[in-house]
Amino acid sequence: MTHSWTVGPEVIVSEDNEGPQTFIWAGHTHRVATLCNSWRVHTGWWQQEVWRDYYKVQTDDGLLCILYHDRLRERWHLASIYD
Amino acid sequence: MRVLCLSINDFWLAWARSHERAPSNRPVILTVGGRVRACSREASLAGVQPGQTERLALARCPQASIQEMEEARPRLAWRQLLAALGRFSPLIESAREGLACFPSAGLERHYRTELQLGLAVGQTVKECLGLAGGIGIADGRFVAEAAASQACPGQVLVVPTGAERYFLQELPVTLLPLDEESHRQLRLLGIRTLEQYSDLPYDAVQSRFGRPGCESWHRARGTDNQPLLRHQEERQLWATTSLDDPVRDQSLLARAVERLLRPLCGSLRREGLACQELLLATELEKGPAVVDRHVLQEPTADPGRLQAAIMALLARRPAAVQSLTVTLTRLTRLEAGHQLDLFMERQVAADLDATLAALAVRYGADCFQRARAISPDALLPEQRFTYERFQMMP
Repeated sequence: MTHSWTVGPEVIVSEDNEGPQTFIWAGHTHRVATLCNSWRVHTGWWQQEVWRDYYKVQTDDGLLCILYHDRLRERWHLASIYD
Repeated sequence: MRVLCLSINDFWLAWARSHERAPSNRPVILTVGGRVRACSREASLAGVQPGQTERLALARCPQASIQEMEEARPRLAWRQLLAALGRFSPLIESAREGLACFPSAGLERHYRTELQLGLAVGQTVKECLGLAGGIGIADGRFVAEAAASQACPGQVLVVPTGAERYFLQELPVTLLPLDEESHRQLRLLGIRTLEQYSDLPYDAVQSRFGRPGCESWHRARGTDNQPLLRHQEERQLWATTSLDDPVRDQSLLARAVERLLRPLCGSLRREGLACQELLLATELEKGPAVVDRHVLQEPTADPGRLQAAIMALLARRPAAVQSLTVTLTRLTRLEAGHQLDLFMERQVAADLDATLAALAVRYGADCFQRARAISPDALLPEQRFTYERFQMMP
């Protein structure tokens, strides 16, 4: 079943210029095998600014998920996991 | 990798003008079910767009000629062309009708030069479709496609290795496969040519246009390494029958159709398949042969349902029928073909609620939450839906 969070759990990410390389979630380190897509959401600057970079990634153990980088708070979160 | 690309600009329109007697001296609008599917450049400049209603399109371009678009015959002819191109290369990619690519490395040895190869392909296209297309040969699919789109019908444009960037630099940025919003932003930024786009810093492109923008950046520089994807020839089942005398009587036609469908449905059942679409080619006593296409609401292998669909198509033909050919396409696994109910039966919903209530008693109501959509098209996930605390039904 696809798991979506309203505000996803925070994850620790190591990245390079291309995007996330590995992330640690629930105590496990997941290595990004494929970066499927990336997009930016920059909105709400007139009210409550949101500036996020989203990455749809597939890990080397077959997990397909969406991560986002909250640019304003400099934090990474997990947004969805596809099953 | 050297790639040969065949491009027939506005394929549907070119077909209509060549085979369906659409006028060439007036704007043309092709419709399907009362909606615009394709239109000529003049009509497009007058504000006609695919998806508009026939009435609106005619209001925007009153001098246009409106024609119902023939889909089945051009599709069939395109498939035959792809099969014919198979003698040049086993790997043919065709993303849509009117566009085909295949790797051409080494083939010039058989045809002496790449130009001769292009001309041989052009001849095949002419024989299969009765249309002429532009042909481009270059390193990489994107450059070959750009060359084909720039070539006049029947012309072959060869881009030598190493000259890709030079060839692309003056071409419009609209050739890049970006979404509408990205193209709008490029227009606003004053970026008109591929050279201007490829001169943008990579980081800036990545930041504004994401991954598709980065891929396009490489393409605009002539460094397109995307592999070609083989066109999967769809499996079809077909049967044909010729009637001794032209038949107009519906009951006789029904019997002929039943005989025609029996072996086809037998094959489907044996292999556990169902068909989703059928093509009916009818040769009439008077007038040219016609091909009708019918998409079934749900895949089926049931002869009764297929027969009903065919009889409905035949009822549209007033003339007596001389011969019939039925082709079953878009074959799918039978078990995957059932449309699930969108609205659950009340009893099922009640059973689910009862089960959930029992689980809530066992594990605690806090373990369960009910998702509710708020604004499914919102940019941010947290604005799209919310989780509510599960409450037991009274």
